Amino acid sequence: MVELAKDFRTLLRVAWLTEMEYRANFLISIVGALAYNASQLLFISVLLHAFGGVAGWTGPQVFVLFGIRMASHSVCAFFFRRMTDLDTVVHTGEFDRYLLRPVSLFLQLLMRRFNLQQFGDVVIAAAVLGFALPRAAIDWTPAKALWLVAAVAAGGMLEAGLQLVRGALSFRWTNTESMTGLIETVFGTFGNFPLQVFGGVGAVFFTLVLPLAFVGWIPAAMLLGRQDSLWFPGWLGWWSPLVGVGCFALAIVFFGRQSRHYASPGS
Amino acid sequence: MTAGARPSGARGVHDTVGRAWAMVRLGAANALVFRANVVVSMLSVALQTVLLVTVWRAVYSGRHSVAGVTGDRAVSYAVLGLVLGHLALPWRLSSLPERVREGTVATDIIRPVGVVGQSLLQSIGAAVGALPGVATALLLGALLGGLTMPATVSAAFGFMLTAALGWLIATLLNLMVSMVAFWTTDTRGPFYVYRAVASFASGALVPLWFMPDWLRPTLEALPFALQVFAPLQLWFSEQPLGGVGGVVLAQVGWLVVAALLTALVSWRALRTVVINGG
Repeated sequence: MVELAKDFRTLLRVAWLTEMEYRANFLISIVGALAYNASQLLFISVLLHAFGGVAGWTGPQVFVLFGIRMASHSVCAFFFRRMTDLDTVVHTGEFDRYLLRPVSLFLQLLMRRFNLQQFGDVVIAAAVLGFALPRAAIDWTPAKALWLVAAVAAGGMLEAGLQLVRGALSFRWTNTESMTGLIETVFGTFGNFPLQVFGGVGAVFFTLVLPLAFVGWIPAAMLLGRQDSLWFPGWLGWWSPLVGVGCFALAIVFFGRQSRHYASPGS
Repeated sequence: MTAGARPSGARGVHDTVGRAWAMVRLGAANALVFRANVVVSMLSVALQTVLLVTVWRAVYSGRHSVAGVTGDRAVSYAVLGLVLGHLALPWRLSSLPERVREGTVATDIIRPVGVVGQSLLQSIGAAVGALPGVATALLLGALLGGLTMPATVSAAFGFMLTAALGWLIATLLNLMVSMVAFWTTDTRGPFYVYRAVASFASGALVPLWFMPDWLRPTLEALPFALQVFAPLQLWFSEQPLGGVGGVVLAQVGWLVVAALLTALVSWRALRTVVINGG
């Protein structure tokens, strides 16, 4: 673990030095990441402007949900963005090199590059949470604050886990671009809504089948005292971060298994 | 008449059409070659259709009309907006930046069809490749009762004409932004800004009917509203810019601007390109 932290720090430094070679490009990239996420924020804002609230949740409550979802996404983007590169790694035969090195395949994928563009995601998540949390009536305790940090981290791991599973399928399917888009769209667009908006069946689907609930809806409901919106007993929600951690661990195992189906393009 | 006996002018046209058709087929093949990807794409569109219909019905629950727009119209708009987005609006990174970075753009430059022409023709092919997803969205939207048909034939015709022109504007602008790759090492930043502005201002994310009064005129003055919002207004028998004629006129105007800018940018870009390696 210490070695991993050291490697990550080195990678961060290399990325920083690389980006500083092209400063204008770096700044434009951050603005780009901000714009990408801001469009979702505008979407929610316009909807709340026109309709006042969504599925019984007030504007500030929906913004808290949006902020938590964004924060989870920025954890995923900051630490695990490389999960989305697997198609390329398989297509180009870069994976050949991974197989020759005495280091975990997963870690090699994780460390292949570090793109500082992700700062844009972090900035917008912090700004939205900074705006929304003080405006929502939350009864703060230290335990609740710590739980929120854990829930955000676990949400990021969940999204990363899904992207890793999707990427692992490229060992068999070669092209999984549509699935990347599907995960990004579902998380980026529909993850910002209180999921009771999709009705009972939809809420169950997004909890048990496509676990979108764990990156925004459940943490926000617990924090805001809106357990009445959940379809399961409210106390279970406090355990929800375990789902993200569990999914991520399973995804790493799945990735390892699927990598056995790799066929080198021979380049 | 044999090919050899054909007059040179006719043969020239024949060859040009043949090359263009080859590029369109290449674009379609790129979109359809990975069958699992096509199936997932259809499932993705199906899921998004169901979710959009559900969300819009839910936000309208208990309300008949918001900002003068009924729930049925908002749901139909969402389904059709998804169709246009899937079929026609290339707000995604084109392969051009990747080809510039890898140097394979050298092959594109020596082809008998210009780089701009190749990209446009391949975009037509990509739109053809998106048809399975379009059919899925329309079918599912209709099955869910989330699709209202145009009131008149002229409304349907106006929609189809302006949606096609809107697609052309979007494709040209997309190509122009992709050409940033000739000057910078990473095109994602500019492209994300472009995509965020385009998707929001076009009405693809949320109809411009719901925009605050201070914002809507600005958005309607940009070319993006002519790609999604204006064609869909015609579908719903609204008369933006005085009707079909006004929309087409505005679109042709923007097309001329976009074509000139694209020609200028590509002219400069092809004099900047440096091919490394080989």
